[in-house]
Amino acid sequence: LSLLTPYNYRRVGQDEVYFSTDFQVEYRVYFTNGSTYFAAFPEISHLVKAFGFEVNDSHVHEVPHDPRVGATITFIVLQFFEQNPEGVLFFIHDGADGKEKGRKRKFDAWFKKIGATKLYKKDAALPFGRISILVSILVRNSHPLLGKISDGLDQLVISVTTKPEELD
Amino acid sequence: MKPVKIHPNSPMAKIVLKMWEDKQLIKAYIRGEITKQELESKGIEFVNPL
Repeated sequence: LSLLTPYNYRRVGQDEVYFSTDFQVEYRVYFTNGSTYFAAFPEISHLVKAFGFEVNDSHVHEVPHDPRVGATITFIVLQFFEQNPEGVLFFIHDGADGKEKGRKRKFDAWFKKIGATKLYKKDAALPFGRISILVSILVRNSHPLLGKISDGLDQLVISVTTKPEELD
Repeated sequence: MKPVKIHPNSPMAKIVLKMWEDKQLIKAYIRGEITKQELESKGIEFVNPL
């Protein structure tokens, strides 16, 4: 098998997606309703889903390097866009342990490897104590609202006050 | 491409902080530390778009 062959994933119940690796590590992949994050943008808010994945066993402390995990995550993301061509995917790179930049690099590499050229990705970083919270937003390049989404994101990251130094 | 910097006083900062808090709750749920009801009471709703 190629290192880029995705693992088979399985659905459990209404909204649970899992896959298991050759190293007996089980992952849970999840999507949540992201409409409330962008309630101020009713045109796109209903299209937004937040995406994430976690090792599904708190006893696993060392996860072996496994390129097929990236291939599987990427495959699931591409499946999302196959089935939701106008979807907007919001993804947060886990930074609770200060390794968010490495995770983002890995995520970027996964997409590069499979040639995900049909997707527009915008990355943004929020300084938060010692770390930065890194987020990525993904939409199809052919999304009819791509221009609005891109411009909207550019506006959202700007300060709401022009002269914050004058505030009490 | 280098990530765009989010101003701490921007609407996106609020969105990202809420999403980060939600992610911590989801991790707690997956670890079995909180129930799905507790998660849903915080407005977090799993969906399956696949």
